[in-house]
Amino acid sequence: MTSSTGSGRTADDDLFVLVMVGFLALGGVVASAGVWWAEAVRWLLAHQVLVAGDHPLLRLPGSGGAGLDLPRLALATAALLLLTAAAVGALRRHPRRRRGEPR
Amino acid sequence: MAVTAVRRPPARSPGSALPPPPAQQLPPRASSWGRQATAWVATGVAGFGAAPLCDHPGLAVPVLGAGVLAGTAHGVCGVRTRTRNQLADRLVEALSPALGLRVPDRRAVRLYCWRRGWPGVPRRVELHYAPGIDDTDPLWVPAVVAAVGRRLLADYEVRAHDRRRCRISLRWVPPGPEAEPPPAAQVRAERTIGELLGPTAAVTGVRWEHGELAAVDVRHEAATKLSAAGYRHRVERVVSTMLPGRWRAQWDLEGDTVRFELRPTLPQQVPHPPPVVTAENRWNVPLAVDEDGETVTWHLRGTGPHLLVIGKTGQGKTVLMNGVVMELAFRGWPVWICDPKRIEFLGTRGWPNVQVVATTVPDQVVVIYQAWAEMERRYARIESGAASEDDFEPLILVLDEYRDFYAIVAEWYAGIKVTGMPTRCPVLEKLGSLVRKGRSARVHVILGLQRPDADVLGGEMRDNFGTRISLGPLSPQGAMMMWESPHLGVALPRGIAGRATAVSDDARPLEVQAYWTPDPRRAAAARHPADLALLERLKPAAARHPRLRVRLDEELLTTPDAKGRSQEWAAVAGGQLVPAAEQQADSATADTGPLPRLVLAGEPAAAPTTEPAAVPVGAGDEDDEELDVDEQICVDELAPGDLVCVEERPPTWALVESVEPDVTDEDLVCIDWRGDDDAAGSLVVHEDAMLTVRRWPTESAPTSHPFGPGR
Repeated sequence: MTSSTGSGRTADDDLFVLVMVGFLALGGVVASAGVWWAEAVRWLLAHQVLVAGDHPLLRLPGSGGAGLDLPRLALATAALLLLTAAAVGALRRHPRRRRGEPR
Repeated sequence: MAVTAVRRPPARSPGSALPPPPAQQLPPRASSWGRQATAWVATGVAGFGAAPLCDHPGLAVPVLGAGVLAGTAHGVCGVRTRTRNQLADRLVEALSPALGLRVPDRRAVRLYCWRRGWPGVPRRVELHYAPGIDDTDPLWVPAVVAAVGRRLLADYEVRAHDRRRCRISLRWVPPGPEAEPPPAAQVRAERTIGELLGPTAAVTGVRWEHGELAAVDVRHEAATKLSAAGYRHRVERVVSTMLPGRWRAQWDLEGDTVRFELRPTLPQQVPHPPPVVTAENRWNVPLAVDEDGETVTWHLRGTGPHLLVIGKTGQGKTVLMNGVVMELAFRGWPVWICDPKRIEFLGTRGWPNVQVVATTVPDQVVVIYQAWAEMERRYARIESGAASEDDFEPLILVLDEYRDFYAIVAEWYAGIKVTGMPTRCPVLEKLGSLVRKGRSARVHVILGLQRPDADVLGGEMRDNFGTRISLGPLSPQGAMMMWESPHLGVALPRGIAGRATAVSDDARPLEVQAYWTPDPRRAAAARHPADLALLERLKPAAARHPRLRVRLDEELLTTPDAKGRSQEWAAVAGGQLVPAAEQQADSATADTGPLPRLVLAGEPAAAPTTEPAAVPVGAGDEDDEELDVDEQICVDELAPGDLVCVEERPPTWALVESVEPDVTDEDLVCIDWRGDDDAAGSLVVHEDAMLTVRRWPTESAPTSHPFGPGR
C-alpha cells in the first residue's frame, strides 16, 4: 500500500531506487559469472570445501566434475537447515515486533 | 478449610452464575520449539558429516542418531506444550468474566504439576480473581470449579480459598472406579436436573432397578429458587416428562437435597380392608391408598367435615360411597341416604345403622329436612347447656347424584308450588345450611356428583367440602373447579375403576386407588364367597340405630286447602322419620343375620361381582363421545387432559399428562402420556409437529355463585 504522507512517499522512492540498483548489480554479477565461477570453484577445491574425485555425490554444474561427497553434503544440509530455521524465526518475530506484541 | 467436591460438572444453564464466554481471545503464544528441534536435527546431520572429515568415521552414525532423536523429542514435547498452552488459554478466556477480569490475562490462571499423557491433566490450578468479585456467593465457587472441570475435562475440588489474596487453589480429583461413562439414561437425567436446578446441583447417588434408572439423589444450593411450590412442581413435571416412566420428587428443602424417583405403580384394585376401629382412628374414615401404600382418610373432626365425591358414571363413585357408608355404620353411627338413582344403595337398605335410604323426591326432601332439624335440635341443646359438641355422635347424610337430585327436585317443586311459596325449593337452602353449619353439630354430608359445576354446586358450598376425591380423569374445567388447577387429575387412566385424585394429610394432591367394596345386593345375588366374606367383615356386629321410614300426613297430601290448592309441600315439609315396621325391611340381606356364604350344591360358583379392573385400550371409546371429534393441532397447542393418538396402528389413545420443552434440545417437545390401562410413556416430537387429538368441549370458566342461578 502506498502512503500518501510525505515521509511515506520518500521511503517508497528509496525502495524503488534500491530495487533498481539491485537489479543492475544482479545483471553485473550474471554477466561476469563465467569469470568468477571458475575462480570460486578453484578456491573451494583448494580449501577442500569441494572435492574433485571420481564420484562426488553431488556434482556442481560448470565445475569440471567437482562437487560434494557425503560428509560435505551432510554439512551443507545442516547449514541449510539452520539458515532456514533462523530465517523462519526472524520472519515470524518481525511482524510480531512490529505490532508491539511480547515474545 | 472447607472442601467442595464437584464430581461431574453439569452443563451451564442460561440462568447460572457464569456469564457467557468472552468474545476476546488471547493472542497465540510465541514458541521456539520448532527451531530448536530443527537445530538439534541439523547438529546431528552436521556431526554426521564432520566425523569422517575429522578422522572419526565411527562417530558419524551415533552423532546423527543422537541429533535426530533429540530433535524429535524436542518437537514432540513442543507440540504437547503448545496443546497444554492452548488448553490454558481457553481456560483463561472462559474464566475471565467469572474472575472479574476485563481482558483475559494469563497470569490469572496457572496450571501446575501436569500428569503424564497427551496432553495430560494439571494436578493443581491456581486462580487469581479480581477483588471486586463477591466471593461469598455460595454459587460462585462451584460455578468456577465447574468451568475449570469443563475446560480441562477433569474433576477438580477446592484445595484452598484465600480470600485475603483473592486466590483459589484447586486440585485434581482422580477418577474413581465408578467414574466410567455413565449410561445414557443417567446422563440425560443429570443434564435435565442440572438445567433445572442450576450449576450447584450435583448427583450424589443413583439407583437402578431391573436395568432401569429408578432414583437419583441430588444435592443443590438452589433452596431459594425451590422454595416456591410452583417451581418445585414444574421441576417435578419436567423431570417426569424428560425421563422414561412417571417420576416424583421428594424435597428436603432444609437439607438442600432432593430425591427423584420412579413412582410406584398403584394396584388396579384394593379390596376394602376390614375396619379396625380404635380410639385414635375412630374419626378417620379410610377412603383409598396412595402409591406408597399409605391410607388416605377422611378426617371427620378435621378441616374437612364433609366429603365431596366426583366421578363420571362407571368410575367407582358409588362403590367408594358404599364403602364409606359401611365404615361409618361399622362405627355405630347413623347413616341417612338419599339415592336419586334409586338402585345404587339398594344393597345398604338393610345394612345395620343405615337408618333410611330415600329414593323418591318427597322422601329425600324429608330426609334432608330431618337432618337439618336434627342439626338445629343439637344446636339448641348446646345453646341451652344441656349438651356439648362432643356429646353427639355423627349423623351422616349421603346424597348421591346431586345434579340429578337438583334437577328432579326443581321439576317436582315446580309442579306443587303454589302462590306465596319461594321460587326455589327450600330443601336446597336446608342442604346448604347443613354443609355450612353441620360440623359442630356432628352432622356430616357426603355429596356425590359427576362434575362440580357452578350451576348446581356454587362456590361457597363447594368450598365447604374440605375433603374431596375425584374418580377417573377430569376435564380441565372440572379439574379447575375441583382442584383449582387445570392439570391435576386430568390424566388418570380411564380404564381403571376406583383410580382417583385425593388430598393427602399434608394437603398434597395425589393419585390414589379407592377401596373396592362390593355392593351387598349384587354380592348376595352372585354369591361370590370372597365378596361375601369381605362384606361380612365390614358388617357391624349389631345395629345401634333402628331403621326409619318416611311418614307423610296423608290428609294433607290428598286434601287441597281452602282455596283448592295442593298441600303436598306442607305434607313433605312436615314429614317425619319414624321407626320402620318389621315387614318393611326389604333388604336383600337381613340386618344382623349372616350373609349367604355358600354356593348351593350343583350350582357353579358365580363370578365375583368385582368389576373388571382394567378396560382394554380403546374400550373407553364410549366415554370419548363426550369429547370433540378428532382434530389436527400443532404440538404447542396441546394441553394436559387432551387425548392424543400415540399409535396409529392399531389406534391407541392416551391422556396427555404434561407437555414440556425438551431441555436438551430446544427444537423438541416431550409429551408425557398415560394409557387407559395405567401404561405410561413419553413422546418426543418436533415443536412444529402436528398431532391428532380429541379434546374436551370448551366451556366458559366456572362462576362462583352459591346455589346456582335461581338465587
